[in-house]
Amino acid sequence: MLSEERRNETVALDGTASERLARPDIRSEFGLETMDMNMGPQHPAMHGLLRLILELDGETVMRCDPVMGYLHRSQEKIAENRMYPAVVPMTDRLDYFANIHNEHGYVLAVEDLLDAELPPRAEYIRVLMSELMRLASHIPSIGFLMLELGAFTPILYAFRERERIQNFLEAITGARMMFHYFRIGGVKADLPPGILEEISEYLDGLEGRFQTDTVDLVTGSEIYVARTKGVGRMTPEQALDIGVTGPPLRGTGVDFDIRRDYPYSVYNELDFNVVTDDAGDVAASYRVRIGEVWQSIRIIRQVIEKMPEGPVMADLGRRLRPKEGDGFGRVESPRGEYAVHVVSDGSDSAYRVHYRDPSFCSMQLLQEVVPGHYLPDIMPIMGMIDPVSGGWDK
Amino acid sequence: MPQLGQGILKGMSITLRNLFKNKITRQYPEYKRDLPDRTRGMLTVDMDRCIACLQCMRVCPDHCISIEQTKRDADGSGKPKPYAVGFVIDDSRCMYCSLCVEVCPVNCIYHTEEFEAQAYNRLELARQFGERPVDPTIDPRPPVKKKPKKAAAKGKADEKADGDAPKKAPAKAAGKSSEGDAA
Amino acid sequence: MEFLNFLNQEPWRFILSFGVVLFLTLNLAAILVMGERKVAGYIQLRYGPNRVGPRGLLQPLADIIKLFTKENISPGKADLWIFLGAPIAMFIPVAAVWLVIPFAPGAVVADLNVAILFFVAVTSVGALGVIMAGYGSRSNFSLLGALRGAAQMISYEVPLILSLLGVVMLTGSLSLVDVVNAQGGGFWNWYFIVQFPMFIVFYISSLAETKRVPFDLPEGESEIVGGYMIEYSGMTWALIQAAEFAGMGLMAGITTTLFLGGWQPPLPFLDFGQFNWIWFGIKTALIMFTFQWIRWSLPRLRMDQLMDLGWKVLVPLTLVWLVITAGAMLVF
Repeated sequence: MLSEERRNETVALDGTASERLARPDIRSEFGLETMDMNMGPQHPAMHGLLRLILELDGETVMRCDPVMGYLHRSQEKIAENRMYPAVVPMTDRLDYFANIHNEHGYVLAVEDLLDAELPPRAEYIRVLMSELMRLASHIPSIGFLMLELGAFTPILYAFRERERIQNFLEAITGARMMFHYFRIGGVKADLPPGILEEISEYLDGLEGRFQTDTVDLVTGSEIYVARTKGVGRMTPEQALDIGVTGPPLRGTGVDFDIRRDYPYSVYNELDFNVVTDDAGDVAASYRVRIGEVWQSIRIIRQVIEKMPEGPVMADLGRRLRPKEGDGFGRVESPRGEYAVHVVSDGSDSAYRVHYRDPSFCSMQLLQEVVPGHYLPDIMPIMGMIDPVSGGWDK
Repeated sequence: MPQLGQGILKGMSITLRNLFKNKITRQYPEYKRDLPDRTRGMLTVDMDRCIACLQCMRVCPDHCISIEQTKRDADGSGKPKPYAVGFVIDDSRCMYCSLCVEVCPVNCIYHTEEFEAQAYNRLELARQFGERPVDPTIDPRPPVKKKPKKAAAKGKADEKADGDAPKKAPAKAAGKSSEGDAA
Repeated sequence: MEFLNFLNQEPWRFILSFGVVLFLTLNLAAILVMGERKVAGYIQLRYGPNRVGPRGLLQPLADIIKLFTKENISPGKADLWIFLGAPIAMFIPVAAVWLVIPFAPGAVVADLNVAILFFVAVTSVGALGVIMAGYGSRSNFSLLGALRGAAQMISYEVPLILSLLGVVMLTGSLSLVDVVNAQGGGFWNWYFIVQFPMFIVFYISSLAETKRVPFDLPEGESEIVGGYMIEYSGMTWALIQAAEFAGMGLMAGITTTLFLGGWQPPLPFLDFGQFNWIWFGIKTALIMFTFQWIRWSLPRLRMDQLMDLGWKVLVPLTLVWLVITAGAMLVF
């Protein structure tokens, strides 16, 4: 049970909420009580292992406390006890839906520590992989949003595309999910022959299929619009205060993208737009994701066109032992800003590694935004953040 | 009101069209996809080529490789060399990161295209390659003893910001221990 | 075969045909589950179940064997009588309504002269089973699902009944046999043409009554994970599923009877006499397919939107159309 002050505070967050709750005098007259409900950790819509403690007044949520830590694997501590190169395969396990970006963040941080100079082909291959991974993450995340709204079919159309992209990633890296492809100083191996033509051919087909099977199937549907419009609305200030990044932040109108504002790899040589939207609700983040899929396709086409020849690995010596100091790498993962801070004490392994995971930071908005919404609205809001269990629990 | 239902009908026409399209499911046990050349499947070892340098064992992040090493004059040159009498790969721990393959100087450990590992018992997943079985449950490499942290490491960020504070020489203590060359 | 003539006497005829209808209802549920999975698979570019028997056709049998052998678990604090009674309370009404539906000329178990009233009265009992299931299992999720189910089923009774009235006015009878006979002579005489808005309202309301997408809030598997049936397992769960699917078949059958001419052939020369049940079967199967097609294409509504649709759109629409029908009947 909430105290009266807390209840009023909760209601004040969203003006519409007060209409949905029983008036205090009615509440006391009929002795109405709220219901506590536990969602998760084993719940089909919780994106892994998340527990939400909800307090419900009828169907209206009055309080939403996320409880995390069911998938904690102490990745940061593991990273302190491993040599630098052996941490890269572990970062694959963080955000297991966009592994390449985790590797990229860590590798950038260590290269910052080593002041490494990378051959251009390695950088282009990294961008190619990142954008393929972004496609493979954004398209299913739209499907997940629909799955949470009750439509089962879009997710399978989305996974068809993800599987095909994974085929390319597998041909390049050798694994379908835990790639371990980025290395400190470059990438593991050059691209297999002919893969660029195959990717470019695939993108031609993807454009059509994405337009019909995802955009047309979802966007116009009146039920979809009714379920997402105005749900989970945030102001830009609120989003920045909470620390939301990625599509939900750009959906509120904040024009912020690490790829453009703090360019890494060769993003400054590529031409792309940062997609933003003003509404700040679930529908806006969906539109941003759709726009980013088109931008990713555009970036991949440019990369294929510009791909230089040359080595893919810088010579950093056999044993990596960076000087004392700290390195920082930040990338724009499909879920937002993924940053890694590595502190070195000059030995074989890091003194401290910290991962800033976008799933974890964006999750904080559940407490702020969910109260006042109906119970079924939690699901699209989760779909807006699109968190990954491995990411927020590390 | 005039447009009500148009989006729904459009979506439903898309699903109806897909109803008649070719199915994309592959019936797995009957149909097996061609795996790409770089597939990282289960590891295997060519024991004839192994020189028992133990590099794979040291680099393995999951400690899934254990090697029992002796000195033996295997090639009859009269000079005993390191020889691996026991070699076990515990597939229940392996995460197919390929670090051991990259580090092997004689390319004797490599990935196969085999990926269907299943067993009723975790220990059955440990595959023995040598003449003598090795107990896979023993951690082949005891946890690395971290050298004592320098007190300076804490205030490092400040030092960096100042710039004038003397840099500590990088600690060399770990160099003596034999924990791995990974590049 | 003369000695079998006593079977055509009451009460034997009734008992026998009731047994046949019950058997058909249970089988219909099993076949519909199979059909649902196949349609889902094909829409989603999969094959659906295809391992048991030729093209997976024996899958329902395998499901039934699995469900029979499964342990029936009930929550420790469940109200056991209510908990176990709920599946039966859900299934019986569904099976009973089949008694008044004419399958072919002369093939109806009970030709009630108030068949439509019987249908309306008996289907509304289904909400009771939902409330019993949700209340009896003592779970927050079940309770929410049951409350949603009760609110939804009771609200959508209103447009459902109102949309029937147009047909009743045109026929001048509450008997389903009369309704079907009035639609003879070709598909242009079927009521879905003159009563098109009512047909749509009835269709939407029957989706809501059978708790199908986009009105499957009582189940709402993404937020309340199955709703009122969350605590059921084994045969009790199977009975609930059977009731749901048989209810879907029933609604399709009623829609066919009321608006699509029942067993009447679409064109007069296609009249097969006693075998006109084929037409009933084809039309019912088509309606059931559209149910499944919608199920796998659309997301679900929210509770407030569901209520808005029911009370602010469907009920006024039916009222207006009733007035129009009455006016048209006066004029012509």
